[in-house]
Amino acid sequence: MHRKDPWIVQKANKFLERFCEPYLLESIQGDLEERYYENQSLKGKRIAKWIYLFQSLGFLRSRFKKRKKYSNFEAMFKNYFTATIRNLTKNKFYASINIFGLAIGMAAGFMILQYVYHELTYDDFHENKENIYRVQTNRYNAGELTTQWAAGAAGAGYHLHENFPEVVDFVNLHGSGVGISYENKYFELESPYYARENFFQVFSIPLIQGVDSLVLKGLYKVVLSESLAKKIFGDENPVGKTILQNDHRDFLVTGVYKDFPKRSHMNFDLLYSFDTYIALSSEEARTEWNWDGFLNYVVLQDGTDPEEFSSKFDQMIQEKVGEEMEQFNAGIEFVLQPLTKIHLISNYRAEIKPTGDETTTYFLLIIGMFVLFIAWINYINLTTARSLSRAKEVGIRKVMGSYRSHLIGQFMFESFFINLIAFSLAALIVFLVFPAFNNFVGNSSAYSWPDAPFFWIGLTAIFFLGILLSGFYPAFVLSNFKPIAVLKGRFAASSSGNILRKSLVTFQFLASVVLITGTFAVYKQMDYLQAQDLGVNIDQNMIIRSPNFRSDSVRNIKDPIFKNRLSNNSSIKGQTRSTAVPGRSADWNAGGIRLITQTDAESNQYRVLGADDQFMDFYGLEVIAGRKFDQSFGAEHENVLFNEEAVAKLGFREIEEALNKKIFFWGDTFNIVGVVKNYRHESPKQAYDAMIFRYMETPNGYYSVNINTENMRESVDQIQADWEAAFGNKIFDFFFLDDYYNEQYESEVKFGSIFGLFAVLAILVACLGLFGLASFITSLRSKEVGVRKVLGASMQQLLVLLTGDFVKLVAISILIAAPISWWLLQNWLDSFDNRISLGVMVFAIPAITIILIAVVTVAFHTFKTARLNPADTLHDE
Amino acid sequence: MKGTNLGELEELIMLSVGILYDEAYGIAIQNEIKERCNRSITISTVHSVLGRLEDKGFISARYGGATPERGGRRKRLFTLTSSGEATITKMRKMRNNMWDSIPKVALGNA
Repeated sequence: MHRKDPWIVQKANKFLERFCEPYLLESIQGDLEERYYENQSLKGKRIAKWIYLFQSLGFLRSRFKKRKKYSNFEAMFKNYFTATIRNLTKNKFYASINIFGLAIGMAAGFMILQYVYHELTYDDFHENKENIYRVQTNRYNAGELTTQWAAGAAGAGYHLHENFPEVVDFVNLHGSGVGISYENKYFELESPYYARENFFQVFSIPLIQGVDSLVLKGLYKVVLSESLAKKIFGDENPVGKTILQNDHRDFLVTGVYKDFPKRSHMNFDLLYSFDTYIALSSEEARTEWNWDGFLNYVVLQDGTDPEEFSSKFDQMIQEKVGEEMEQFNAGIEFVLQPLTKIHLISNYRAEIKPTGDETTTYFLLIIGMFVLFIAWINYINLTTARSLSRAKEVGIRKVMGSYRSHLIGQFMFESFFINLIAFSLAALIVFLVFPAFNNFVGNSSAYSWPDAPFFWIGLTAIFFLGILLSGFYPAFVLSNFKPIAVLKGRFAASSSGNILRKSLVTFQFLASVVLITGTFAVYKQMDYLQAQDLGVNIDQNMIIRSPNFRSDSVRNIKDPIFKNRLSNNSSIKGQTRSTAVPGRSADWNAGGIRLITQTDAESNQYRVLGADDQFMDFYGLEVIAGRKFDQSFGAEHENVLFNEEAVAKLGFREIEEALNKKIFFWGDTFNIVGVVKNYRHESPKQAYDAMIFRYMETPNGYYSVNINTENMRESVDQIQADWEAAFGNKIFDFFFLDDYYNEQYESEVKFGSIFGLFAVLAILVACLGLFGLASFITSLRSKEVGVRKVLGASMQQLLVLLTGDFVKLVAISILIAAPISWWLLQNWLDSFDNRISLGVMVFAIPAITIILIAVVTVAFHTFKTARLNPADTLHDE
Repeated sequence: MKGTNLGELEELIMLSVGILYDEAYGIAIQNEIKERCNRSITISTVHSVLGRLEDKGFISARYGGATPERGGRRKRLFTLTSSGEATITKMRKMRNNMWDSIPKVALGNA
């Protein structure tokens, strides 16, 4: 430009340059300029420049508009999209199989992931979680591991803190079974505990009222959970009020804490100050080593390696209690459990609440991945199988100048698109069935959607991984076609593709066979356990928890009143009282018991159950040597009964040898008057325990009542009336023994049903894939079928011919799956002391089932094809 | 594209292109129409119609010499193509034919 134009002209030119088609621009600007030059002399510069502007604006029409530069990407994308949509709508059948299969697979995968995520992230809300460990205690007897406690002696935490600078702080907790009352109202407590004063400083449970460091300091202090505070006090402010523990001890409410999150291995409805506990027992209780009734948590210094640190324990234990241990031929071991792992790795005595199970969780994770993989394999198989019919499309695209990368792009896009639809569908499915699934997996994990971003990032990663996994191979295969061969019609699926497809189908069925065998075996094991002869009668028994009394003397007065009223109650057929009832371990675990003639080193640990003289009859237990308890003999409290297992532990071969032998039990001497036949006190999962029965007139624990079931409601009401007559307004808390007993299987039953559910899903998805594949392959062979029919093949021969290939694959997968499932099941069953043996049937029945499913799936299409009139299939030849 | 029909403005511009033979470009055509028909058409309309005619294949364009008044920019010069010629010739014949067919009485005192 040889001279400077006015600003407006410059702007107008800018606009034109931007807007106009370049090849027109020069002449347009030239014309405008020419006119401007003319106008300048005619009308003046000022007007001329405005005219220039308006005239240039006149070019604001589409004719002059710069054609957008041809965008390769956009066009390609558009084309991919159209091609995908066309391909999907043209093949609705295969498309829906693909999408539906993927959606089910994804939905199953998401739900499992969600469940697993929930299980894996327990206690991760604690701020100092990396440094907090629970001290778990193992007790040994004669070099053998006898008891694993979640808890341990109070001294564990105390001594660790005192001896090692690595332990910055510790908290101990002690369970307290006693109930509370406020203004004559009694409240049932889930798990009341005494807690050391620094509880709220170590654990990240926020206080709504009160100060972290003060609420548990000093005597007779109690802190309530928000929901318990609401239950007791309603809208009143609980702080400063007094609640009554066990009818006679006043506790001052000093604070209220937010309820524990569901994903926590702890859940307390209230905490008493630990100092109170010490004041009520003795100062030694802080440091003692022999009573495993305390949960110990230690806070380690930043950067302490727990492995290395715990290797120092042995020496400390040796110093403190080495001699004593040697005397009893016993041993003690402390194990540090990381706080966040407690839920999964721990399932020991005296857990605060039921823990999860690591194996189950990872098992489920594997199943979830299986279902997803099966769905992806379906996609790969169907797409590559159908590549035959898309070969022409690829050929033409290549002839028209598509690069291979374009074709890969196209098929990856298809994969993305189908995955996206499936993903949305899966999200919908999950959304709809989520509450039911929650319900299904059980009460303990009433969880919500995960809130952590890493979960969602993981999910997205899986989604894209799925696209890559399922899309890459088909894209690779399809884009590899040679256009000339394809368009000339000389095209057949490559044999390598066939082999891969076959191995993928085999893998799918392998996974399905493993799952179905697993499900079958899990059910068989459950069935076996439940059908066991327990040796103990648990039916129609109602169990009432004994009330808490200030002292045994009160119990001794009130107990006979209740007992008498029950005997006069016509709806009751029998009653007994004991410290424990069948269905759980008898928690009284006593060590140091030996024959009076033995040394301390020969002593052993036994489970002890205190019971009255009705217990054996009531539960139908058989005394196979000696006699059962009978008050008429007098001085019965000096006598004990042993079970067979306990007799063996004592070192006798023949049960009769044990009769009338004296045993040493915590400083006292008892006489063995009888031997009880082994029965399943705990669930049949466990081996028999060595048990000692001690006679007690009024044991504190449970009343077992055999009631007339004809009119259940009335009977229960009547018993409650008896209860109130004897114990006033003490909490009347009862349950039915068979339920209680069955609770022990709950986790296995849950595991079984989840396992079964996802196995069914996996099989469904696999069959869906097989269905699609079979329909496609048989349709390809329709001409062959036609020719064979014309030549006289029978329907039967055709069915065998067409299904044969698939059945072969399924058979191979069964052969490979059998040893895998055998190995997995052996491992799983090893966790039971009492288990089924894996017979041929465990493998045969699932195998036959899956072959049947496969045959039916394939035969459906085969039959359709085989029935076609050859005239129709051959007419265009 | 609506075939080969010509609009009135298109016809005028084609005629101008013909008149201006070898000197037909935007401004010249605009001036021609202003003088002969006393009609002001904006320069953008001229270009627009020219483009349309080019699409129809009635005129063709080439770049001509640059002049200083145009800031050194070249003109886009238009000439009639043979099909353009044929079209306006046909148009003229058709009109003449129709004129010839009008009875004398119908035109009154013309």
